[in-house]
Amino acid sequence: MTQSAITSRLALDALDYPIPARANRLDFMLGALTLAALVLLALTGIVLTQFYNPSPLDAHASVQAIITAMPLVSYLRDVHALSASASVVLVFAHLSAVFWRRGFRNPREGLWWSGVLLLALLFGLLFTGTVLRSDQEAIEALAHAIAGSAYMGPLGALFQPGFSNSSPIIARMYAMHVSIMPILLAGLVALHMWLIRHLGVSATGEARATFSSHLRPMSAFSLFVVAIVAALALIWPTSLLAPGVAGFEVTKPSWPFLWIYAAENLAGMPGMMLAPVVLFGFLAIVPLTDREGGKLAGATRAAGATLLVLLVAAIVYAWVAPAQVHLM
Amino acid sequence: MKTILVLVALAVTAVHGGGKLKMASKHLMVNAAFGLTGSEFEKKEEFTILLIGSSGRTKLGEIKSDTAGKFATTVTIPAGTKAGSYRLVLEASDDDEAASADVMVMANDGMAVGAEEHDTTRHEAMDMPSHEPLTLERARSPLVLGGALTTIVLALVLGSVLLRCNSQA
Repeated sequence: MTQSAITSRLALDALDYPIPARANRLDFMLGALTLAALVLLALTGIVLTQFYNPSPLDAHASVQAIITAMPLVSYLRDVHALSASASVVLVFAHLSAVFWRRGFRNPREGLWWSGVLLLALLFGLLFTGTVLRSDQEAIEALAHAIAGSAYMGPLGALFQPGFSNSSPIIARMYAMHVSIMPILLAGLVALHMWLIRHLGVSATGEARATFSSHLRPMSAFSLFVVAIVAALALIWPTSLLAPGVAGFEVTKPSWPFLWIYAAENLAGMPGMMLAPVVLFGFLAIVPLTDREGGKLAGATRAAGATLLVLLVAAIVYAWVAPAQVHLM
Repeated sequence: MKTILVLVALAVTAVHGGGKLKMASKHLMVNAAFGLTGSEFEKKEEFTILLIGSSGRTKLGEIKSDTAGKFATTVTIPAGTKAGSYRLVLEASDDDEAASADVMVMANDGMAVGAEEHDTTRHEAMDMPSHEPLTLERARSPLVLGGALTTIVLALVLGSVLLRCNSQA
């Protein structure tokens, strides 16, 4: 069968729609690279579900068994953890690039908001993934979520141990991690891609290229992401702490949550609750405050840059600061 | 009365004085007693001890903390309780959960190993938490290492070829 026959039968011609030639630059591919990291997460996660036991008393032992007795699954677990970190780095790079080129302006507000929801879901997946390890860091993360959810009224009920008498909280976190959140994520990614297809990327310039030509560098950089994550997983395998003992705080969260930890260090539980509200609240109002010719456009850009610097500074501060007790 | 020998700690953050629950084992045998101690609760507070699972709530007893916010008691899992996962809950008089712990109730008959043996071999819950990673002997395989290295090289080569084709197009 010739290439043209395959093209016509799979309707691949539909990928030849025009896009700005500038979109072939790396900074316009960060979203696609994030997607590549998410695909890697999903594939490795599917394998892990076959060996992980979400029972409260066996979860930690099953992770330990994966590490000590299953070389391939253990490596895929390392890839899983590192692709989670890679997706956070890439999504923040993507967010910063879109923010800087004001890719959220009319008519792309929905595109931006779907991206913000994707970011929130990614943090949800990171959190539930952490809890599943059932080690000391997991137990402390869960204790923080339980304490925080108590402030959220009915919205926080899902995180309360007493929400269901027939299913322990770790099993419910597992369900969120492997079904509810991935389904929502897939739906939002589909919406995000639909909007990109029909609204176009925010690249300027008259020169045009086809989307099919865009696929080549995009695939190339995605393969580089896979190679980097796979190599890092060999160099830095993911650790596991001792089985969690509730009622103590001796660990710090993984790096994507360190900015929240820093806020909690400085302002206690209100700080922990407020930090995500500030970040996601700001991201939500960006398309409303930074409009073409709007008075707040400059201020919004300055606030965004300041917030990014604060975020990085908070992560560095929490990284070097000693572990603190917050809930006792 | 069967007592469980291995002392493993289960400490649970609580609202009522931030109390901690400790019990002999997370694995509880039907129709057998187990020791339950609590500390750091409100002084002189009364609690109901409940076993909560998919089949409902079973009251196991009542307890009152002493002037130091501590208590120690012996509780029996009633005969007829179905084996499975439960939560052991300490409920305060205002119906708030003061502390809870995930436990596994096991049938007394037909067990391959006794409770003591089971607990020492499979569950090593510790009293003191640690932020240090476990020193585990990781499973290694030359096949996995080779496969990973091949994947890395293939991804790099294929990516470079695609970029080269793109720049020539």
